[in-house]
Amino acid sequence: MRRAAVLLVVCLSTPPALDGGAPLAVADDTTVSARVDAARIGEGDTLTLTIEVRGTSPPRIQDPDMSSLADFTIAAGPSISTSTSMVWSGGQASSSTSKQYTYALFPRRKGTVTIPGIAVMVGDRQLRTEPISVEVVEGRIRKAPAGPLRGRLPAVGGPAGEPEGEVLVEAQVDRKEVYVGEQVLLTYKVYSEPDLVDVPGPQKLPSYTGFWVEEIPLDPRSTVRRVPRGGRSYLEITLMKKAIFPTTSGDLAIEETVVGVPVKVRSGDPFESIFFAPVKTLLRRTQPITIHVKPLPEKGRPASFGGAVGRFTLEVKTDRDRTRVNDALGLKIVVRGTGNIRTVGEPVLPPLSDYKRYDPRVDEVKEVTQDRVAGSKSWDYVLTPLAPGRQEIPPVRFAYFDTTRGTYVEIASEPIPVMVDRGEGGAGSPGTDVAGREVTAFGRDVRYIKPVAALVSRGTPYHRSGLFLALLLVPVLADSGLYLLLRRRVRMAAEAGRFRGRRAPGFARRRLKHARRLLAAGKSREFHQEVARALTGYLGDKLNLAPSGLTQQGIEELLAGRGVDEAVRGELRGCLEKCDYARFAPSASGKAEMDATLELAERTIVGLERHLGGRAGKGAAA
Amino acid sequence: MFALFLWCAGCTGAGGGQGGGTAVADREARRLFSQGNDHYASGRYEDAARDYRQLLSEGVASEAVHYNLANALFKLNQLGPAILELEKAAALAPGDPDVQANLEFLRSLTSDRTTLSGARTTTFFLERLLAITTIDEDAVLFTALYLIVGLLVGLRIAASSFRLQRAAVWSIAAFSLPLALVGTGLGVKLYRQQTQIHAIVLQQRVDVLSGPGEDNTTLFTVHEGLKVRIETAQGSWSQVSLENGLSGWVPATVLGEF
Repeated sequence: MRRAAVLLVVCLSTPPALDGGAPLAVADDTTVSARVDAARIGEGDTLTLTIEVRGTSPPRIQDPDMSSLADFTIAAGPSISTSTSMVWSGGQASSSTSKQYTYALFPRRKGTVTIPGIAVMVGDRQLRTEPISVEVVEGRIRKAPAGPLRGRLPAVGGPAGEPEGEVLVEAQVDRKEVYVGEQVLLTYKVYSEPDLVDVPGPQKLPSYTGFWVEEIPLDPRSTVRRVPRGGRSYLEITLMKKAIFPTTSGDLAIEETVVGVPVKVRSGDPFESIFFAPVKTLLRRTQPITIHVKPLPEKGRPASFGGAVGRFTLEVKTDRDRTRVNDALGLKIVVRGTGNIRTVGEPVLPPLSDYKRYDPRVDEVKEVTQDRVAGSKSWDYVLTPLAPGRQEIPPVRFAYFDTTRGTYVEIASEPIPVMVDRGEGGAGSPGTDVAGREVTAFGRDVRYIKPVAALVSRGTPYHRSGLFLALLLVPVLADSGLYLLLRRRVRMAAEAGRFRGRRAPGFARRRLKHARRLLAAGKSREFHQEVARALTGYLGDKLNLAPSGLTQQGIEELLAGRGVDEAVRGELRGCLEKCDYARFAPSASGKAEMDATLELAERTIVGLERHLGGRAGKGAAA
Repeated sequence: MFALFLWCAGCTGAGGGQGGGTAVADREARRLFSQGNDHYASGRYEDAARDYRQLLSEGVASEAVHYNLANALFKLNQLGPAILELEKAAALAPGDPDVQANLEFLRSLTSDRTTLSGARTTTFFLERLLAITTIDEDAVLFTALYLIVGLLVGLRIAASSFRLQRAAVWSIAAFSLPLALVGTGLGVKLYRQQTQIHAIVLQQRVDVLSGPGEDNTTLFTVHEGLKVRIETAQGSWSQVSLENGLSGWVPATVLGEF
């Protein structure tokens, strides 16, 4: 059938650029041109735009880019036809191929409207048509769309008659100001004076941006009826009904919809009536509609609100009122009402600490009553009681926004008493029926405030307190004190020795003076005793030792150790020996002998003083 | 003997830690605190917060006041200020389980998470080691070890026999090692306490800029309740750094220092 049509076009094809045509030459003789079927149209009329690509052997042609077409709506198309023609000239045959894209356009505004240059990709080159200006006036001035429209359109070409009467398409909404989530009923209707040959079909449906769309089934008994309109009788056909729910607030637009209406046309030619059905598809469009969508109020929104808008009822029931520990208990929550049931959120289930809860099974039933979307949504929970006794199911809360009243409504179910018996075999013995379980928290909050008793004012922390510093100083002070104390004691002992040594020569001299008096008195024994005492006393003082502890041997060693030379030591030894001897000798010594002894003793002390003088007492305490 | 000494040192340390803690706050402070608690109990959180703040302005330094104020602020939906007060309470009483529990809970409600940069490295390990003890515990431990070493030095000085002297020297060596470790830790913590200032972001959303001034590039965004470190201040702007190493400038007014 389609092939036949193409063949027909080839036969009937006329040279291009009839009116407003503007061929554009390119290098390899491929041209792109655009033409329209009228230079002046009405607002409700359609304009046929044909874009033709012609060439001897054009490379691959891509569909024209119609995105620049701002002032027109594409009502139908493109329908594509290809033809090849052979031309004889000067005995040479040349063939040319032509590809035609045909569109039906609706103007979007009045005045002089321009179809801009339309880009077509031919091979890897972009060709552009010349812009075309069309004057658009109010109303409808063309009787029927001219030009052939094939492909998606059921119309056929050829000279056609005019339909009798007017054809209108309307989109109607039941309300223009709604809340987010509130249903808007959108109805598409066709009003036609001439008889229809087929069910009108929408050419292009809008995208309904910002809406959730639910199809409403049509009642076949009331889709077609005859209505009076402006004193004339029209056939009213309800094309479709849609329930649309705005999902965002603001002014949302429902774009225009193009509907193709097949009508009977009158034809004066009986021959034509045989070959061509007297049918014409009229393209009509609806007016765009703006819906003002109000946001749901923030004020007074209950915590249990989960997005339900409409009117709902809540039903909560358990499948039994008596169960056993660890047995299953079914809890069914049903929300029923009018509104977009799909956006109804799960009702807030109270915390059930003594039940184990599993994820619910959700069922949804959508129904339409009197063009309103309604239905029910149910949540089936399986609960397992964990402890025996009276385990009440607390109220379940559900909130929705009532659009008729403009307020939130919160409904709560009645608490359901459930009697939980002990499990089997656990009679009387607690613990056996309840499988041991960890106590877990299901609520979270800050810990409670501290009582008055906790009010203790904190001073400086320890690491900043004086005590810390004081404790750090204690060992330093104590240890250095101890050290100094011990050192002082040693020094004092040494000091005492030095003092004694300094007085030693004086004492010795006094003793020797006394000895001289004894000598004069002729007391030989006492004289020698006094001389010996003077010597040992001197040594004892000088060496810081007790004179009684001094032995001959000890004295020798000590003096040798202190560097007293042999001569002095010998004199000392001789003197002491002489005194010892004289003290215990039976006869008294002579005066001259005693004088010599005294002299020797004095010399010895002088000699010793020379050696020990400055360093007396040093190291004596060691 | 050492154990006895440790115990003694511990006792004195603990006594010092409370440093006047037993000095009971005067009657007026108790009355105000009790009034705040009554307001809190009856749900008048704003009144409660006002009472607690008055107590703090009068110089009562108690973790209980900061803690209760944090609770009141949390109930008033002021997450950032609440965390700030809890941090202050934690600084006063690091071991308080209520403070730690609430701090953990409130932090879980904030939207920012930062990971310590260079996790699992030596630095990270050392940081964990440092975090085991509080600065006060370190000070007490340091005091105890220090006193022991001091005692041993005294023994070394006073000892007359060579064997006792040698024993004292060896003991000093043995105790000096832990003393040095604890002392280093304490030193690091004291240094940080002196030089590092932390702050909590108080506004819901703060853009962190590349420099002090509105015309700088936004580097990243932080949210209420995040703990940051203040590096430097310039005019009304503070340079802050996060635990994960990110750094930038924010107006000083959006921060609460502690």
